[in-house]
Amino acid sequence: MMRIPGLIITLLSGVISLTAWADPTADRAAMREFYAKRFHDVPLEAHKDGVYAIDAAAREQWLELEDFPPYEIAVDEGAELYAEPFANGKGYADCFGDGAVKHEYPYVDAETGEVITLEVAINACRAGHDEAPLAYDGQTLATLVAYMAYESRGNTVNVATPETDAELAAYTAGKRFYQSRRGQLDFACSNCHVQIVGNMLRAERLSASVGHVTHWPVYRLKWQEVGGLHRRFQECNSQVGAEPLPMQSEAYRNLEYFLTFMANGLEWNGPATRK
Amino acid sequence: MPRAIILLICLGLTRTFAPHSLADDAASAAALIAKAEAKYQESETLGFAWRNANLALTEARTAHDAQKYSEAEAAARTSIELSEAAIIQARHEAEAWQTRPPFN
Repeated sequence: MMRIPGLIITLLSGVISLTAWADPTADRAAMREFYAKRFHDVPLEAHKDGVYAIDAAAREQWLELEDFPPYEIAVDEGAELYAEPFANGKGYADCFGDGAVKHEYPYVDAETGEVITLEVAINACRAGHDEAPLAYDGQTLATLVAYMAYESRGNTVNVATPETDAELAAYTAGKRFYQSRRGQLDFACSNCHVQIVGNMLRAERLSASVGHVTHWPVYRLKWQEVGGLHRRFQECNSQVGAEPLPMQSEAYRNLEYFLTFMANGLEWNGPATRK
Repeated sequence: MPRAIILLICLGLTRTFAPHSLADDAASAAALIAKAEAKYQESETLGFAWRNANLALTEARTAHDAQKYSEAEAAARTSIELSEAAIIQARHEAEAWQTRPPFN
């Protein structure tokens, strides 16, 4: 049975490790080299399409769906939400201009050291105008982000290389989450998306992490609605038997930060459709 | 055999085989549930809580509320075992995460 000192030591070992091993640029190069060898006929930029970069049959079906994409309704509804004024007469445009800002997130706030995602920024905007926050697991926020992602299409993922202590801590915490086995099935993200990437797990082909963030939020046919990246994190954690964390929890924001840095240079192309 | 000795033997047997009271069962189950909650909380603090440990804990509480104390104890024990495994996983992963591809 772990006593309190043991608990503290385990937590501290994570903290000590946080800055001792951080070399984000080398990590990204290693990850890209791995995928280049694994998928030697898939150029790096193609990974923005996630699993459709490595599964020709799924890609064909996806392209057909793109003629009448199921996320279109969410984008239209999101546009209406974006334009709706707050009670004080101001609106989202006062915080985000024309809404094409998805590519500016996530980043580490210099004052708080916290990773700020677009969802967190939206609620900060609302708070700044005395509006109640939107639920992170609600459709309203997902719809709004779908619109903003659509407006941001074509921009390039460009997370600044983590350099400050706070950035390195967030990056390393995200990397640690990605690499740690968890849940009763004892899977790490990297087990599926690196070690057995491209293989089938049940009915799903396992996608490469280098393009994981570019196309979110997505309309999942399984969900019959749009949902954000953290909702997918929750599902993955649940599927390996881990208790999912709340959306926009610190751990998930760190993970998003890590994955987004890994995707630097790729094109933002959300929202998208997935099974 | 002297009557007194017979009476003493009967008293001893009665005390040995006396059925637990409902209150004893409730208290015993509650204690196990409290232990399961503590273990789960520990695994959650480490960031490695398991779904089935939480589900078993919920099952234990529900059974306890329904006065199904043996079921509650069984579920609580399951939850404890799962959370202990989760804690072992957390301890192992504290260092092991750094050894995996593609970064190593």
